[in-house]
Amino acid sequence: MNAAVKWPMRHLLISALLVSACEGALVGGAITPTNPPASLPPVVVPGPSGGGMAGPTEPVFPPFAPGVLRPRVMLGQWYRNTVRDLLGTNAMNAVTITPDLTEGGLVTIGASSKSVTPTDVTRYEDNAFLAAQAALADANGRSRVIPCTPANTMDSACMEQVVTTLGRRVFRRPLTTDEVTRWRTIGLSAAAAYRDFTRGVEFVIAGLLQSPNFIYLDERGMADAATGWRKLETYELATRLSFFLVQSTPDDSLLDAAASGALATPAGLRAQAERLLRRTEAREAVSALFDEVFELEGLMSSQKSDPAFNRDVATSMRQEMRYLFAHVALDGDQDFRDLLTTRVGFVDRRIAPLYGVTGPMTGFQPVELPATRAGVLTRLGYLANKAHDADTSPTHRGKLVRQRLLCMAVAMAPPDVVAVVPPPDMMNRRTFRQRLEERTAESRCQGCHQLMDPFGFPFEGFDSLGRPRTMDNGLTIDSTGTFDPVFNRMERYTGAQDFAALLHADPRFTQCMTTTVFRQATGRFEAESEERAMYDLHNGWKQSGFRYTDLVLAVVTSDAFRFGTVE
Amino acid sequence: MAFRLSRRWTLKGAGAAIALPTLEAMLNSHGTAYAQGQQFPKRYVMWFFGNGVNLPRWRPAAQGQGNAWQLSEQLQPLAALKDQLIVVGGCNIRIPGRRGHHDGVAAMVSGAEIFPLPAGNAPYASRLTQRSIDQNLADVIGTQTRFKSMQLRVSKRIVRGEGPTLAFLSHASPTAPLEATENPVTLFNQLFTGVMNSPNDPRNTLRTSVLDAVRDETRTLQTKLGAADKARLDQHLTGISELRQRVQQLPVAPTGACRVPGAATQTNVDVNGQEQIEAVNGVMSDLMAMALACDLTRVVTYQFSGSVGFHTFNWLGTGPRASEHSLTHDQNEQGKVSDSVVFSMRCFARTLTAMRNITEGTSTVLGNSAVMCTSDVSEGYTHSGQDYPILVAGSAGGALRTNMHYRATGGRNTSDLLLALMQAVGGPTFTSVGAGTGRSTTPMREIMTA
Repeated sequence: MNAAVKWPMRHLLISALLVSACEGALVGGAITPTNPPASLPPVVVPGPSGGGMAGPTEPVFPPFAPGVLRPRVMLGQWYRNTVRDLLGTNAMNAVTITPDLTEGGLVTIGASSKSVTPTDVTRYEDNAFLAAQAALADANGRSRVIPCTPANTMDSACMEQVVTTLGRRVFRRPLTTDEVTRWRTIGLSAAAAYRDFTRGVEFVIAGLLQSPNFIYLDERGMADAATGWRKLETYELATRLSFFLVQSTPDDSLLDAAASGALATPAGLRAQAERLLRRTEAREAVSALFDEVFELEGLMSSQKSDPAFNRDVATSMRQEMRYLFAHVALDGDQDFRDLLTTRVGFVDRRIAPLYGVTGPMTGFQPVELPATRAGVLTRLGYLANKAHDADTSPTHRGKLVRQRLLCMAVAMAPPDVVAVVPPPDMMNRRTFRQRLEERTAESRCQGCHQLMDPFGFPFEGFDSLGRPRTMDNGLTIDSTGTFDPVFNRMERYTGAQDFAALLHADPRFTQCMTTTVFRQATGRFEAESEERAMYDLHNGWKQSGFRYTDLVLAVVTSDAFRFGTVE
Repeated sequence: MAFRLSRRWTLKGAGAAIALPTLEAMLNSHGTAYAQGQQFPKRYVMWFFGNGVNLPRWRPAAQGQGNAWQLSEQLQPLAALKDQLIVVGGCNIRIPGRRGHHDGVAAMVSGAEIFPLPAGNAPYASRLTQRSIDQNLADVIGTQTRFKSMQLRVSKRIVRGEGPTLAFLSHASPTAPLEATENPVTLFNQLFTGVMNSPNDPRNTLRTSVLDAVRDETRTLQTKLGAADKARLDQHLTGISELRQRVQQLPVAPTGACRVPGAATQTNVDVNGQEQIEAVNGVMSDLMAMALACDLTRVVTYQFSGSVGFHTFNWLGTGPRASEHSLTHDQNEQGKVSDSVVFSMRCFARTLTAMRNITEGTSTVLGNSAVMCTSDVSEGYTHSGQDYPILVAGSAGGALRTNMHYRATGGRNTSDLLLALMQAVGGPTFTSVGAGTGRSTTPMREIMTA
């Protein structure tokens, strides 16, 4: 194992290492030269050539086995979208959702460990009746869920048709005979009690929407003799695919593909995935994923004393980022790494002035941003979110790059450290960067700050709102630095464009995107026994020129997606 | 399935119901209990505020009881409630120190260390390793009330990205944190809106049938799962059974001190990007006090502000950049931190006042409760777990001393206090709390009357 190149995402190592203080800090699965724990295999870091994984030393991996399958609780956004797709917009507007739990930076992973609490149960019930009533309030809605004309209040055959037709959409599979009987009986009881067939349907809808078969994405598969693993059933694959790609329940043609067995083959999965990726909801799904990666929710609680910033501006900043993610991922055949270098921007009248460009009167419009901008890390949504009120924050900006774009964790500051940069001193004029560097000069700070700050210094040319600047506290700003000294990447950069080019060529970025997409697709961390799969996915993606949709298609057709194990 | 209903709620037949009023005539001559000997219910409330205190301004100068001690600078807003207070000092968090803020929450809600979650992209995340003590208490004292426990929240700016430890106070299990209600209108509707429309309305019978069907499907699913996921579905089943019980119950009827308050209108929506914390806290406090008086629940966790949190108290002149948490880290801003602590204590006083204003016999809802007020660190600036800031209000029906400042020596385990409160409210059935170095079997007798 000595010369082995390890896939640098062994999250299992992290918790053990994070408990140590920040000095010689651990970074996700890789260990800094200052503190190699004896019990862990050494890590070979890809050199500046960017050759990455396929270097002179061949990687060594544990034998492949897929990770553990656990039921996921439907996420809030998925729930809303599903209610919309099943019952219409009025029904969607009638429901309220609670925030999801985040684990490992993604709510999709949190959904695998979340429990449904008494509060949730109450909310599910409220929502179920409100959605059902809204869906049945008008003739259009009624015809959507009642595919037959009831001969009388107690028309059992018609009620059964409601149960089987709607039930298949709600449970994302055909109902069992017992289930059909159960819900038809409830529908007929309600119809009898109210002497109204439609009221019966209300209770059917409200019941189905509270069922665990709806609430949980239970993807347990069936024992597969050929592999010894569990193979996801076609309906389970349809569910997995649909929530991953369009954040909603499978549509009829996806369920038909499950029924016909078409989804049992990688080719069949691929065809459906390609179709879903063309839906507009796929753009929302990509936007939502990278909104999380870039921690954009934080913008909504950002406060700045600069009057050019307010909640509306923050919302527009966030929206621009979301448009950009979808654009790079899904429009044309772009190299996803161009997210880091593109000058395509999306502006509305609120944020156009901050970029120094002319914006449209209404809505957003794509523009070419000024030459000082290079990629997503020069956008207001990132720069303003990861900054203090009036000062920038090389640490927060750099930490996001380290953790979210390279998937390397940084330990938190030791408990007794006061992590505050001193305010300006008129007698000893310094830029924020200088004060930060003086404050963190001690070795116990450097263990972590060396991992973060060099990734934030390139953006010193942008102020706390993301506008270009040349001065800070009356002094010329310094946006130069050494790329990643802890990992022996000693290239010098000057400013954001240089830095973006270095990151663009860094295989750790595309490796991180590979695992991020995989985690989003499966709702779990990759297992150690899936390192091989991650490596293969990344290599394949590289060969395809890093087109985002190629990664997605490779993930959904991989064994790691199609198979699993159970506890 | 059998229901055990509290004395105030009972069922007659399938739908009709009668409530048993607490009339003065039913009380014993001391007014401390019902004539038939049943005591007023004891309640447990945890009132939490984020980011600690400034110890020099928090600690009372002298310990003792009655006139022997006086309130400190930061405790001044509680002046009118001093006779109901115990200030506990000198205790330390004894669980292993892993992460600032996380440790403090875990120690004060469960007495056991945190479990660091797989880092992914959020390396500070953790969950508990034991369920929270309010849930243990709820198993004993919450079985007959409409809500086994309630979770309330005032500031919505809580940290959700670092796992359940920072986001929640109540944990039915380490993987089942209980979401809090933060909209007073929602809370009002849960508490006081009738669920039984009329005896002739079949709605609730049908709702019950639906819940039974959902329960059956949940059980079927559960049998297919591994142990960890089975436990998750146990939580789901508990929720179904609690809701089923509530569906069959009556709207709250005024009995004894219980009065249905006017409908709440406060929805905890920001105004110009600013949380309306004091107003929300007032409405939430009144609703909680009445929920206790009406015996709708006996266990509440009240998250006034989040651990770490993004909350700002701008009206204190803290400036727009200043979330309370970021202020705590700034040496030069400790005056504003102190103002924030005083503000939190003013809001705590508001909660206690609501509880004390409701008379129960010769005592009050507050007198029959034990309210623990604490935070996630002792001082935000140092992230210390030493000399932890803890207040106890109410005597749990005489089980606790009051009007007292007790300073422990030797860095006494904060779990000793937790155990004292659990025994004061839940009785001797509680013989230990916490785990590992946080575990305690020695309740803090110094604050107990027996």
